[in-house]
Amino acid sequence: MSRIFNALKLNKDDNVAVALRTIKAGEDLSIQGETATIKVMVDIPFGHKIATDLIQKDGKIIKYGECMGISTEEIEPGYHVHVFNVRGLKEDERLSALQEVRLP
Amino acid sequence: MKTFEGYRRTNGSIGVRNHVITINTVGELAGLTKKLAQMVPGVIPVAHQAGKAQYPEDLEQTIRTLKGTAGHPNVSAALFLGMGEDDPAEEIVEMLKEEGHHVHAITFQKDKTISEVLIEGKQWLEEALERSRSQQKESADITELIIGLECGGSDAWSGITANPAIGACSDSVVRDGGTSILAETTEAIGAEHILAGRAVDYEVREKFLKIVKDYEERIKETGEDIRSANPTPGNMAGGLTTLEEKSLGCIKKGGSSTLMEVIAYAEKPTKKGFVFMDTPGYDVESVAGLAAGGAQIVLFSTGKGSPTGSPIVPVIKIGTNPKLYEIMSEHIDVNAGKIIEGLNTIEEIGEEIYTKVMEAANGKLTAAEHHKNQEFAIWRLAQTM
Amino acid sequence: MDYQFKGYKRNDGRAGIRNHIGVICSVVCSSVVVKEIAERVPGSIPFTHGNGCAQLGDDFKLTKNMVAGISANPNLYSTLLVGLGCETNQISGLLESIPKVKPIEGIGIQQLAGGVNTIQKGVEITEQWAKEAAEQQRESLPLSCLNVGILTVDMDKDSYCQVAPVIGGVVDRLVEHGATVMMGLSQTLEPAGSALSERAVSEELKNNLQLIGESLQRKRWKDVHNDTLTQLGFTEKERELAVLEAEMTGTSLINSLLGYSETPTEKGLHLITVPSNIVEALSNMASSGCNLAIVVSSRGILAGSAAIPCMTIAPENQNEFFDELIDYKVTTESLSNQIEALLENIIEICSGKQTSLEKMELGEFSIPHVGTTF
Repeated sequence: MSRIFNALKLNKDDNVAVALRTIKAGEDLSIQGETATIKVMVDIPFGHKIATDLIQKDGKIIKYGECMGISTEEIEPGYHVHVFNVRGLKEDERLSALQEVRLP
Repeated sequence: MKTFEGYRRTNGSIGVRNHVITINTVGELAGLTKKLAQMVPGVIPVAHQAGKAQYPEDLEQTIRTLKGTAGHPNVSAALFLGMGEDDPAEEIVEMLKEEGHHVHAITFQKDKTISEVLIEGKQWLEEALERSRSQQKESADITELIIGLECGGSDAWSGITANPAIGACSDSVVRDGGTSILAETTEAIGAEHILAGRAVDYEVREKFLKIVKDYEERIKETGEDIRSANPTPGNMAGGLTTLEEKSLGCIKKGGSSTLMEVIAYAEKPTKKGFVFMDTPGYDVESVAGLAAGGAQIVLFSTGKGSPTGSPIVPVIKIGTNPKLYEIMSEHIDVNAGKIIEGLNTIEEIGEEIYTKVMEAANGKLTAAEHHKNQEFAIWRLAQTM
Repeated sequence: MDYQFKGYKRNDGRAGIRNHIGVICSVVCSSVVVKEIAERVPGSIPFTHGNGCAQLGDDFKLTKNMVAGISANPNLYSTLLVGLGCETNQISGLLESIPKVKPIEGIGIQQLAGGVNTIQKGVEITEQWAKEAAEQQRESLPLSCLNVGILTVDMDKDSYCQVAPVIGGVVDRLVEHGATVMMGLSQTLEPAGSALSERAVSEELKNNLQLIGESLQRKRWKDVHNDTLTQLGFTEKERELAVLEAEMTGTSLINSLLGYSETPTEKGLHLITVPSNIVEALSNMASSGCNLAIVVSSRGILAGSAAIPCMTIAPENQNEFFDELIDYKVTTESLSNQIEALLENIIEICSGKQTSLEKMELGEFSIPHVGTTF
């Protein structure tokens, strides 16, 4: 079995993967442990993120299984996810995210 | 149950090394501390410039660090050098003796010449070294092991390869009943709500949020603002989009275990499992705090290549990328760059790190130990008076 | 009488009284490599410290300035800076801020792909310099090339009474002959601010010294956050001792009060801020360009500076336990004889005679903190 992949998902719940090498538009995305094929729509530099699911505007960007930012527009699978379509959390959003966590 | 052979101390703790050290309580004695260690090959000097001319809060932290270092399970014997009547050396030694440690203090009080001190010190160290060599190892298990988690000289891959792999190892250690201490409060800023969300109870959650807030305030005092300065343009070019993402990459060294306790710099954890220690991001000071808090082994990820170690604990270096391993393998114990090459999964590297931890616990030297990287610095809270 | 000492003339008109090769770390991470290089090359001296990274603002500036300052010290024939690569205190920045009057090079562990290569490269460079330095001869130079620091440590009233007039006389003689003298303004001397202000060369310095003399103007940690100064008054005893200590500055005009790692711009007498950590105080003097430090103490000290000889002076009749460390004992002989004798001793040390601390190889280097690390 080939173990050569061009992207990595840090958590199974993530909706983005990290490019392990620079991936050209038109290539297929191959992620460790996943079989679904996603066509890469734009060039993705290594270390950068690529959407693996459809992310709605104002949707959560999930990496490491955690919310790392909010999308500022709709992002389709295969597209670059970065500062031009993602913003960080605001203070109240971080606080409310914390309130949602129930203590055991 | 994972087991290892270590050195059982009188107080019940278990060491993975059997060091004899010299340590000073005031900066003026740093030179003599090194000189004495030189006179008895095999003795490790722990010299520093703290201990005097410090504000009370700062001094308290320094003394806690010195006591934790000398009373560390990896230390078989410690010789303190102190100066003057109000020197803390005697007091620290008394406390450590009560806990059963083999320690001795020589304090300059205008009653001994330098030559006399050197003779007395040399003799004590020779006997301590002899004694340490006769100490037998005995079996211990993972529940008695505390590992510290650290990063230094990070790069764009740190948060993708080495740190998540350390996180996988940390989760395994915690699952097996051991203890894992995440450090570097600075690095948690921006993702503190996520770590706080994993706290075991309200108190731990609030304590964690408080140390992060205090840290941010201290940074603001210098006119800097971590939140607006991060991620840096360099981080963004490397693919980091938000501060949350950057900080997540750091705190993922702690895996996804429940946060059981939050402790001060150089403080010993009272709980087993996943713990957070309030330390600066400055790696050498942070490692000294983790060690003084009782961590027997430290895991340290590096992307740009940092050779630093510790005088008393084995530091295991995890390289983040294949290139680093190629050019600086002398300083790297585990090559997490294999994840980038598709050769291993994060979980597999986590397992490899865990194996290295057990090997180090059994006495195998790490890269930093091979190169005698024994850097030591105590976190200073304020200016020298 | 025209005094001369035998020293090493430097390109910028200053003189070295030693001809060491400095091997200096920019950050704690390269300290082990620095020690290893210095160990392998006779004539080279290691300068290690715990700072250099995760520092911000003034705290970082101080570290950078002190590393640059010690690199430029005239007692060093040449300087090799050794860095890691990713530290805050970058080698390139240091090289830019050090005047190019002697051989200076910088190398980094990451740039050279590891500690082993870096040690090898460092040894190559310093061995070459050590050969060159060994060939350089001492020559007769006037005292005006010298920069002498004075530091007091653990003194009591009797010791001051005995020692201060002699030191004061020596300071006056040094200043008369055009030398630069930097007196450490430690916490013990601060209460004499008002008396010292009488001799201030400028109105600004005068006011500054008076303010310092009024109360302890140093921040307490608890107050660092709200940026206020805690006014801690001095006791009568502190004031009395400070006045005695002030006598050691002699009678010359005071040209300036130097901060950490500030170099005096003119010759003559200066005050220099020093922390009460001895190693940090001596390191600060060395970074400000001192050739020699005179340490006046009732007990002798156990650590000197790696860059500059530290001559220890104590009053006679003190306990003999630290005799091995004392270079000169002040006796009850006539003042003028003693001033002359001490001056001769200073000149001998400047001409190459080793101090007790040098013989015991107890030279250290350390950088004070003015803030916390991050």
